[in-house]
Amino acid sequence: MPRSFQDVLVSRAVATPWFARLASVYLEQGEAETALRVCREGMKRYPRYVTGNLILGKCYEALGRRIEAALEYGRVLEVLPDNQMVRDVVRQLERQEQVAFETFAQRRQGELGPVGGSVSFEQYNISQGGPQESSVEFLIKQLQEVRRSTPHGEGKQGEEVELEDDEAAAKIVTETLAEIYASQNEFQEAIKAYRKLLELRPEEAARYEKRLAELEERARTAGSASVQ
Amino acid sequence: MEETILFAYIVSLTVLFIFGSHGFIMIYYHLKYRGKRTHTAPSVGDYPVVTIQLPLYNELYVVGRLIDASCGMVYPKDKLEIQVLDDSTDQTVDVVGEYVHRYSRLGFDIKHIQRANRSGFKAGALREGLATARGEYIAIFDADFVPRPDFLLKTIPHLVEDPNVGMVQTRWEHLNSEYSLLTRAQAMALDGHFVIEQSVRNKIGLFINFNGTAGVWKKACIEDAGNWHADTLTEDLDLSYRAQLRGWRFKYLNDVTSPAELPSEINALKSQQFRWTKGAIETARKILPLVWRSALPLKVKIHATFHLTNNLVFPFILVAGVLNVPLVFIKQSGQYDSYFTFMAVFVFAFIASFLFYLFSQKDVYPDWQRRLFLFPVFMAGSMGLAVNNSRAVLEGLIRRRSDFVRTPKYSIRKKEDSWVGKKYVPIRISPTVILEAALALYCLFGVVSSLYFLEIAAVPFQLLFFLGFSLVALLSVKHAKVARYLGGRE
Repeated sequence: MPRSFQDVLVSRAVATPWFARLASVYLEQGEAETALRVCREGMKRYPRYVTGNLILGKCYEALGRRIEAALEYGRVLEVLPDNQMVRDVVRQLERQEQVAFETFAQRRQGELGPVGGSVSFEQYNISQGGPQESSVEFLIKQLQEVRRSTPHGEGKQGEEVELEDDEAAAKIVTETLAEIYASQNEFQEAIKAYRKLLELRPEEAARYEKRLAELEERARTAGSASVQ
Repeated sequence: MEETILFAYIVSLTVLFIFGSHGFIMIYYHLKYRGKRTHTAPSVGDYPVVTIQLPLYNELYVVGRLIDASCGMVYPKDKLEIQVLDDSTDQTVDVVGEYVHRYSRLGFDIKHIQRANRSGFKAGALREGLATARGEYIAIFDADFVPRPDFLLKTIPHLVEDPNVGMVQTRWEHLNSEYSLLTRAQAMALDGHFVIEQSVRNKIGLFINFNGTAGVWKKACIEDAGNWHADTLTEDLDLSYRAQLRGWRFKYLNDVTSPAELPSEINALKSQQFRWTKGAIETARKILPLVWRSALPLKVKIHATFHLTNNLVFPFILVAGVLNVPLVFIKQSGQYDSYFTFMAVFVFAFIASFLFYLFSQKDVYPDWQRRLFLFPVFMAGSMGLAVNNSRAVLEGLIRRRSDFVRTPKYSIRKKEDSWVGKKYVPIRISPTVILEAALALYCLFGVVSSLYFLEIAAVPFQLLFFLGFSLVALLSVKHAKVARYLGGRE
């Protein structure tokens, strides 16, 4: 009964951040629809899990749903504003979508308005069709790049893209721990801890985010002070 | 007599100075919070049901692309309802009927809702649609808009994320800003409103307004605020304030844009300006007492007052323009020299206005420097519209009832397009044109006398007034005439 096994697997996975890894496996096997379902289900529980956004974006892109893909990658960029690769993909998707939109508007204009035909929209006509063979592979590579390009310990906001490995998952992140880091002026560690808490307990998001903003502010001022 | 003129002039300049200072405050906050971006809301787990309302009245030229764009939105089909709130009395009804038929066959939940009469105009139509709307969220688009496919995906998450957010407004983008000087000047004015006013107010927790279109409401918020009222000409501003007074929060998204067509013909622009100006004054009369009686922070109250009353500047601009000329003569008598230093205040208001538009253009356009050359024309245009808008202010103050005159659109995007020969072009010349023409001549006389007396400092402003009045008067006559002779109406 492979079907029911799959169901059990999925229902277990979506209760943890592991759903993203499972989804990416489905994606690699070309089961984009299933991957999308797993990912969306998982994201209900972890709405701020950035890796989830990234995989979700890949699912959408694999299904040719460029607009939704671009939006998910946009959410990744929110956390990794400097990541040029994700940025490029978003820009590319948006450009394609813009062209499709313009084409659509111009075609309408041509049908309804007195003028038309001055623009040959066929040349822009982008296929709305299925996935391009390379795009999934490309993005998986990219996810790995993201990890590699973020050296550990540098304190750059990149860690949360990493799927939690066993060790990290085993480590119990508590608010107390985060506050201890903060009191020791270890802001980056405190921020990391709060980020993790944010993923684990999204119901407390409002409070954590407020604290995160404060810590980031302090980290910035501390950073600039030490430079001088 | 001379004292009276001087006194009236100084009062006008003081009012302009006060509103000009408010402009500086907005610029200050804009620069202070420039880096603060609204965050992207997390993706929604389950898509909620959304109703798109399309209120329209005789919009033959644009209704098709509007319905196409609405049905072209990326959103689960079973969660999307489209209501065409059609008050039309011409062939638009047939066009809408055809489109609705076509899209419902494709499986869209699209309804053609017609009313027996236009009672309550747009507010009435929205209200009627709301009564049967299936959606938990209500997106509204006027006929001149062409919403983007990702509109709902970019707005709905913000409403889902925070239960206290009642409305999300997107920035208007302009499909035809390059069409003429007139549309370029309007684009500049609207950009100032969106990029600075809406954005700053939202960032520092002041009240903002729904712009009547290109936004999404929570149905619960509309109902909680007391639903749409038709007792002002700006039902959008009125409902926005009532909702925020009830504690709902609004969100303005500067990075999400909705393209729309600007009026390309001046008499249409004048009626739109008239409606906005008068409506704001009516709303101020209705809402400001409630604002001041509420328990809101003083800062919110003060800014709300500026927000609702800033159209009061128009009568004072007019007074300043008219009195400028006798003042040149009064100054020659040499009796009141000390008062004339006061006139520098006018320059202050001008600078505030210039910076305001400079920053708004700079923020959204890479070619902002080129666009700034338009500023004098834009300024002259706003001065030229002072007659039209002062009338609106006065009517709003004396509570004269008037009908909602919609702004006709002709699906114009490229230079070659034209509204000439289309239906709906206003062919009546309003009596204000005579006044505008007379003022143009009067200001020309002012320019000449200033030159004669070598009052060079007065010349630029008088020149702007002259340009403004003559531009507005000439265009009004020209557009109406063209419309009349080339067969506007059947």
